[in-house]
Amino acid sequence: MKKLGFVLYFLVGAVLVLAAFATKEKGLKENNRTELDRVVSDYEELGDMGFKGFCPMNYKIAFSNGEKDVVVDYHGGDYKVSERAAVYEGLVGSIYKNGEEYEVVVPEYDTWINLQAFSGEQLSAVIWHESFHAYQNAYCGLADRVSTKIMSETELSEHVDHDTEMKRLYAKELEILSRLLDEEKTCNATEIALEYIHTAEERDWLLTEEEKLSEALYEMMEGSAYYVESRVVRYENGEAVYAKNYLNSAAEYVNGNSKYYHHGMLQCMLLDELDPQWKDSYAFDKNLDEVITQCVAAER
Amino acid sequence: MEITINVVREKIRKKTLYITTILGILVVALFSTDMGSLTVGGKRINDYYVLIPILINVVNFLAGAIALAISVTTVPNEYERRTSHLVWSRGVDQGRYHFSLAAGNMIVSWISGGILYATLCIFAIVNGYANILGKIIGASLFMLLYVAIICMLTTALSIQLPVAVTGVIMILLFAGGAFRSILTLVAAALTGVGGKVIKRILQILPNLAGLSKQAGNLVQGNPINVNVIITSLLFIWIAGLGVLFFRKKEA
Repeated sequence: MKKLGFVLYFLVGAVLVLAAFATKEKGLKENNRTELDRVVSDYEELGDMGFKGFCPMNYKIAFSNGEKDVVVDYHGGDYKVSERAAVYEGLVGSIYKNGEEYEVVVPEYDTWINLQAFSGEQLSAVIWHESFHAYQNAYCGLADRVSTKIMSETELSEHVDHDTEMKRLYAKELEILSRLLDEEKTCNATEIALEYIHTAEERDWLLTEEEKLSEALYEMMEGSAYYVESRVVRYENGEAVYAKNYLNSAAEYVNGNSKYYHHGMLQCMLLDELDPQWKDSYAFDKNLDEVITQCVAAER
Repeated sequence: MEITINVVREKIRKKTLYITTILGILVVALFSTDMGSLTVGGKRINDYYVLIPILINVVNFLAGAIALAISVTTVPNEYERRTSHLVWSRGVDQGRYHFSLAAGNMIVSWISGGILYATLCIFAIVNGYANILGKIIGASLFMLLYVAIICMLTTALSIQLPVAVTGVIMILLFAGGAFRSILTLVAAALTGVGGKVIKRILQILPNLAGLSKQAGNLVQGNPINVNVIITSLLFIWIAGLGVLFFRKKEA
């Protein structure tokens, strides 16, 4: 009787071990797939958002746990899945150049969901943001045109954030650009653009050549990706979440690199007002200030 | 069976069980009424349907804490009082004896957790969510697993280790399991050997956070990860081996 009890106990154990292996998710996990499905469905509605040739699913997307990447290649409704050792350690949302191809690397949903509780940023929006960087480099060749004089975001922020006058003028630029968000529309876009250009030129005198180039690059590169991401969040979650996560704090000067994201997004929004077709011929070969100046000149 | 019933009777007489359960009821009551409210991302959560998964986490955690407190002294007390010797003299072997004690711990903890879930159900009705009662009752099955993991592990360790050592180890395992999701996020951000070691440690912790998450998924109609349930059962099974095969020298 006692022996039978042990035999039964071990049988139960064996069944549990087998069941655990059988139910363990392999390859593309269901919740990661759901995020990709969301990106595909967003794209059906939002399209390229005016950026010619942009489609997030044109790039392989790797879900990483810091040790292993599950790489997904989307082809006409099917996901082709492969695995490899992680190309980045840690919690990373970035792009990765694999040979001649740009790929998107994001954390797995199971990890991201814990961060989302604090940041409010959903994984599908991160995929859109990073795939836009892949597009900037792969389609528009941005990486090939980046000057060697470019400073790292941290290095640049550290310098700029310690200069009171630079900070004051940048905060003023943000304030001017954020008048666009005024629901009563007391200022028209051209007036905003003119005042903004004037302030930006005033501030340019304080910057070194490297700082000017670097800021312009980050505003263009990160700001436009942030602009695309914000459009996705607006579509997925509605106006209230969009305003809370992207607009309400856009005018605030914050030390670090996030101010370039906000500034660049506001520049893109200003361009939408000045010339709704500005993206048609834009290939990230000019910085956003140059495009704004051209638009204003064309209007006059 | 008689040993199990005796453990249940004895534990039910203890004041600590009542105090902890009443505290649990108060916590559930507090968050289920206007007296207290949860704020996430600067937004007040007033919707009971949204609040329920968070409350399930809290209730499971409290039930787990009760299970730990109840289980940690059961075996050492039995040996200290020499009750064990009366049992041996009747020809009951150690494995069966320990298993009966663990079962007693588990039943008392389930009763306590059940009371907390009943409180959740009452406040669901009060808040006009009687339609999700069935789901909350279903979610309580995850509490049974949650509590069983704690009871079996604590009982197994308490056979071999002093009460204080068992307590410390179990608090670490319990906290690690209950906050595994947050720890996974921290570990994901770590690089190098340290990060790898922490990730391995997290993998062997009981996935208590995962169980609460599945319970929340059940209430909200989201898909349930069956693997979390099976690995939890496997955890109970492994701890059960300890309860069956660990031997106490005094016997």
